[in-house]
Amino acid sequence: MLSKVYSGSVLGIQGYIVEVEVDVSGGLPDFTIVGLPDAAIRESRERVRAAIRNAGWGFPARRITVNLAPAIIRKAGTGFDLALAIGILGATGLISGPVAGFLVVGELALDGTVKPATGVLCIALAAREAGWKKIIVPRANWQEAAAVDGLDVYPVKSLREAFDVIRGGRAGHIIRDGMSCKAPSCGGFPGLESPDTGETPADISDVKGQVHAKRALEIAAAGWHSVLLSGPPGSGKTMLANRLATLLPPMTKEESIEVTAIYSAAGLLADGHGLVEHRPFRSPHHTSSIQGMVGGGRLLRPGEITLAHRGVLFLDELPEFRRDVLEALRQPLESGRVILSRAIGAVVFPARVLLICARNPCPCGFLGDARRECRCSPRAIAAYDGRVSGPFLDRIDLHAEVPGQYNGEMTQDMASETSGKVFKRIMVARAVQAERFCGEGISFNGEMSPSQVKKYCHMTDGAKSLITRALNSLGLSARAGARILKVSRTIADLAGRDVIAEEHVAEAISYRNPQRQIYPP
Amino acid sequence: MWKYYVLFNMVEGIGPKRIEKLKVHFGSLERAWEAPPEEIRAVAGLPDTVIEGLIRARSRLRVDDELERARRAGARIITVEHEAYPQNLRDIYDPPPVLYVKGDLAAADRAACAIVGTRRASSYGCAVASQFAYELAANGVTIVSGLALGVDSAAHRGALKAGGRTIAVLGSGVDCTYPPENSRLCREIIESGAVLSEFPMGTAPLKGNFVARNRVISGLSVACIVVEAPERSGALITSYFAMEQGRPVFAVPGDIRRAQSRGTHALIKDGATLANDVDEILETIYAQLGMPLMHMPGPLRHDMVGRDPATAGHGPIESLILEVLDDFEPVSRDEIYERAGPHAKSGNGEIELALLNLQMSGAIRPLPGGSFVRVGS
Repeated sequence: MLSKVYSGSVLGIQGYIVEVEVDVSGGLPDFTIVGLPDAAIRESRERVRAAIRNAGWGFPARRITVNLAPAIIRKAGTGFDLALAIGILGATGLISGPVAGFLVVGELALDGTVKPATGVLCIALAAREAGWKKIIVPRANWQEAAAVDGLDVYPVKSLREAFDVIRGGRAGHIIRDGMSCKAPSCGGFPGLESPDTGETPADISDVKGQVHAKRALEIAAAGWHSVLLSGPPGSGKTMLANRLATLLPPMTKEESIEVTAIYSAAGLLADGHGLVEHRPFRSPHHTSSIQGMVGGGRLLRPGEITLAHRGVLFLDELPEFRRDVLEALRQPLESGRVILSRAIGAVVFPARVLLICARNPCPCGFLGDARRECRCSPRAIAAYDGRVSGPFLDRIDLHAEVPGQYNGEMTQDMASETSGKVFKRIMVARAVQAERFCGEGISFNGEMSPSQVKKYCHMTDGAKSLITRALNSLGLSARAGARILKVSRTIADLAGRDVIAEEHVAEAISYRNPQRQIYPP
Repeated sequence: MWKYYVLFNMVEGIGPKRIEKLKVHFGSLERAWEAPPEEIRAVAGLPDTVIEGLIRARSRLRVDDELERARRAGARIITVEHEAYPQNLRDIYDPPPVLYVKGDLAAADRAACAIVGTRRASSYGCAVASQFAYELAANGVTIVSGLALGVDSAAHRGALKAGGRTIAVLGSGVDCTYPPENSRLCREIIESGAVLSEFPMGTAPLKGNFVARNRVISGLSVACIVVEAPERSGALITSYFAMEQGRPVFAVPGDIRRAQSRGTHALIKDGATLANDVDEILETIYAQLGMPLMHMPGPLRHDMVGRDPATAGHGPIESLILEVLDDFEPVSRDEIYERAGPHAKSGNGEIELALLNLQMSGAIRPLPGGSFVRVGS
């Protein structure tokens, strides 16, 4: 007898529907799975056999053949267990009538309980796309599935429960349109906690002084511009970078689903948690490989740049990163996505990150410091600069110096603005941008194409002449000029001005004008 | 005759003293070059390796090749017997027998002063070097230095800024500019002075060459100013050569907490003249030349300290920034913001605009670490 059950899997972060055909026929007892299963799926034979027996049924001593269609995609993971078991029960006649109408996802334990699966959200999104209405998911994953509107979600915790749901005997509790989905908290996600989980939440006013650098963060958060902080050890670069998260507005539902789908596919969502609410903040170590950063591998897993999608990618100690890794990041940073082509197919990972980098100004760390002496030769400084390629640095909009602070704590305490106050300005600038780019396919000044720069960066005559003079006299490239314009646009937006004026351009240029030598050649 | 200087100068292990020795031994360099190997082996006091190297080099080296290389690089060759050979240099114990010169040497280069110091100079050191060079050059003194980064570059630039003459002495062949960062400066120096070297064309900037180079820097000059030198600095070696050659040494005092001041302070303790006044240096230079002070060609300026910034022609915020900034000590951006902030109606953007305008007009200079200094003179 033949039965068909539908399940799903994930390639990259894209879910797809898999048809699980089970045929039980006479012959020597056997259990074969075809349709490009990987080792974990082949092992599911043992789990399914034990789970069915321990749930109280007998495992049929007959010839069982399972086909996973489409047979052309190599399938991986353990999410097919439940569908396989249901299919066998159906094929042996225990479930009368078709099991159609349900999409079944879940891993089985030997005792018949259903364990959480990876990529449930991605599969649920694909299911809705394909017109499915009902989905059976492990109880631990129900919130992910419930985040997708228009699906009835049946959370189950055992094979028996799934069996009952399908036979219609017991409905369990159904979640329709996410209605019983309470806003879940997102504590416990790796890399998602707000950076300082101490008693007081992190705030930009924690960093004393550093007016110029803090302003860079404000501009970055408002217009989605990348930042490079350079300064001596202990000047507060990492602290500042961590505070960037406090200046970003919460994610919209769509953004939240995008991010959750990535974490779901990567298996990084903790059990029992629904949508990721906080923007990701990823801070990979500088020894990370290309694969770790942009993604890839046999299973096409997302890299750090994708895990930081819609959030912050923080590269601390930038020159220590391998050069080839940084070069590999260049294209994704520009296009906002990673396309990986492999034998099993091409996947697209989203990668719209807010890049923030930090570095010391020189090998000893004290170039230009007010108190400590720099002990590096000009040659050593040049070699240090050469570790990060010019094109990579060129793509960073805001180069901010974070000088060491020696004034003690007394002086600047009063002037420090809180994150909340800065955040208000940022939201105003963002609203302006949302209106401006309505229908343009982008959301921020930092993402403007050259033609959009021309269209939206209106300048006063004074500003125009200033930028031409400055490019000439400071020896900046045309690309640097375009970046300066984008940043000026954001600065003008923060000031609530429609036309870019001289002071906006001047401030933008101040972030493109780092000095590397005490006496430049 | 002069061709043999060029040839011997190209042989490894043979320097001014050995050339002199060979010349005395054989009567002339030509005969030394043509002498049979046994006779060369008979010269006392030459190591065997040098003798064998010389014998091999004689069949290999051709003077026309070297002349052609020099011609293509735009360099002239001047030997110690040539009348254009600098008089100051001829007077030292071991004058280089051959000089490769790009640019021109002038009779006025008799009044030359060396300004040397560390490559890792502070902004103070660079500013002082540049200012001394400017004022000496404006008074007709040729500034001699080594084209290194830091103090050397600042000294060359100061002289160029004054429209004066400056000479760079290299530790490599004149066809290879070292350090490469200074290639533009090198071209400018050739325009208004000379870049010269005693090393044959194509010589790499080897460490050992620089000590020999330093004796040429001091040898070309009648006085030597050391601006910032840590202990065991090349600049100190130059000053030791200067003392040996009987040229007065000046040292610029610095911040006692900085490593770059140790060498100069040690020099002052050992009897070098403390340099804080251009007049005094000029006086010494002219005394060395046996000329009375009143013959000095240009006007004197003595304003090393206490200059008020020229605020005329600037807006209120620009003038304020010029007042806040210092000629030597870097002032941080945060401090500028704090001082100028209350006067900037539209926020820090207005201050940045003023800073940018001042930078473009050359009145101030940004430094690493996001601080600024005023540009003196």
